[in-house]
Amino acid sequence: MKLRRGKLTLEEREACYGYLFLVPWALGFVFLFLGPLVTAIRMTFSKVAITNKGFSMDFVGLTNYINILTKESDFYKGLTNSVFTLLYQLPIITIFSFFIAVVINQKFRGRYFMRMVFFLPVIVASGAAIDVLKSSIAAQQLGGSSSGTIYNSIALTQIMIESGFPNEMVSFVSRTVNQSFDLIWKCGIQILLFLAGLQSIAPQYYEAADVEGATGWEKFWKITFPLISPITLTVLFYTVVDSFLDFSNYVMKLIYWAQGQNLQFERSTTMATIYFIVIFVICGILLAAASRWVFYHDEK
Amino acid sequence: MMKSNFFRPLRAKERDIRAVVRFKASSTGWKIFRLFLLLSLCYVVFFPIMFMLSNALRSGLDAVDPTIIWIPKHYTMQNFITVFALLDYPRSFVSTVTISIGSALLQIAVSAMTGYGFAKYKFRFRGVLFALVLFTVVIPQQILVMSLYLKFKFFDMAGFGYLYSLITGQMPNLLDNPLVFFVPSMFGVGLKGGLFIYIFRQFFRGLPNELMSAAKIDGCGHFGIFIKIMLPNAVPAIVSVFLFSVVWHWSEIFYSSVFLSTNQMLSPQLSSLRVQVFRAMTSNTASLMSLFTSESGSIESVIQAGVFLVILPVLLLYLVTQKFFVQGVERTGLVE
Repeated sequence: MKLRRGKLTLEEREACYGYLFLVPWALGFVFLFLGPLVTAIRMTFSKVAITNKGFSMDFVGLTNYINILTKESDFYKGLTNSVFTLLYQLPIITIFSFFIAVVINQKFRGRYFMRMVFFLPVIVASGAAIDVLKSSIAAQQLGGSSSGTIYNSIALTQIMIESGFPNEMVSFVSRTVNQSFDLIWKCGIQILLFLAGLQSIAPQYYEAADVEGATGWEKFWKITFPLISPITLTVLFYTVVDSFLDFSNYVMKLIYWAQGQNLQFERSTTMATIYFIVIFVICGILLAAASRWVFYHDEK
Repeated sequence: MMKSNFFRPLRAKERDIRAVVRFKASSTGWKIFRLFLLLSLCYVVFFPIMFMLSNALRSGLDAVDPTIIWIPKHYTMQNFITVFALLDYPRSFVSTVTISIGSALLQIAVSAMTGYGFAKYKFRFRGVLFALVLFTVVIPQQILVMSLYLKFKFFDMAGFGYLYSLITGQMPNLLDNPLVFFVPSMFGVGLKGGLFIYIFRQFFRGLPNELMSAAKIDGCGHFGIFIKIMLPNAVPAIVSVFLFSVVWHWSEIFYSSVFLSTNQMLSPQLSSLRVQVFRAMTSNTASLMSLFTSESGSIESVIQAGVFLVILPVLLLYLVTQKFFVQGVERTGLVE
């Protein structure tokens, strides 16, 4: 210890440079993220008023939370609605985007074109443009269907009802088909994640399996599935967060209106906080359920 | 099936036969199915874009003509001209481009630097700090937006705002100024900044350390290595981040509608476009009335022309960069 006093070892000097690279981000994190976050959380417990030299906050305890949870039925309805929509969309989106990723990962002519096509929704679909377009197309189509879906599967629904399928199943299938546009347009990033994951699997595994005479089915379950499982977890998280934070989500619109109309600072922030806690809980449940079958390469 | 000799190595001839059989199976049924599947999905992806274009080109007569499905009988550019004026396109375009590209460049600079620090240096709390980076991605904007609004209205960062207020008598107000996007981008906490740091970290981790050592032996400093050696090698990651950042700023409506009170950017105007078009259609002002001629399509045609005008620049950017992007995304290995 004595020898090193005043001088840093090579490793410590390296570490200093490492910190140096992080300085701009650290400043931003403390002043433009952590600070506002603390203010936001304080805001949910207070009454905010703008003064001419800044703003003041009076502590009011849990009033904001109680008001929203007991008095705003809209918020409640929107919240449960988006949770249930998510529950049935999550498996569909995950399985579908994995399937598409497997298909466009194969070698065939025009696969670069197909990849370009599937990333297109990532470019176009984020934000207001697609929301406005969707409602505009829906308003224009026959009967001005207000359901906000671009496709309608009336014929399919009729066939299914007449052949005696149970009602729940018919409504599930027709709803899924009607939303096929939404679902496919929501899959862009997920396909991208899976594709990147599939390409990172070393071909040696498959070669070894081929030599041993494994079938495609076996290769999928014994090689692809375990190696892709961390990415599946990422995709699940991403889908949860994305579908909750989507602009077309009703709760998002409520929060947006609360801010846009009369700058109700504490009301909108409290709503967003409750909303975020729900997302957090769902992600936690997912993590707990998934950690059993996720396989990490470098795990000892 | 054949479980007993499952582990027996196949004889060369057997292997050949199996390979042929599998190849045949995949070559016929699967290929047709795949073609069908991909074509139908192409249709789903292209449908709204083609539909929008087809509608935007229709005149008023065609808008109510049920015999027209895709190709209008009377082409008109009137809808585009109308919405071009309503959106105040040239002005909004310039300010949107300024904000998008300016923030994208700042974000690239900072997140490349931060990502590089995380990827190539070992220091205490690296894991914790990186977890904080990811934390910034998960927190929704909606929680922060109100306190950020107050932050920007009475801006202060490490005492800078107070210094400013000593000189001018009041705190600097950044609202209604592109700075509300530039300042967070400059410090790596802009729109999805954490995600970009993550992408760069993944990319730099994939570059061999020998690149660094070689440059160090030749007497290059730490920042020299980063700028002269690492950045030129990171082009695919830079292009991907640039594209993502521009696109997300372009279609950003949440912060921009709160922080920029006048309709400076293109995307936020879309939300109120229907009201705007309707108001213009029914108004008595001569300048607004002249926007609608006998050629004008329905209100939906005008709206869809507007949507097309807004996403057109992004589409063009994607077409130009897609080659880098498609390859870059695959090589960045966006995920672990």
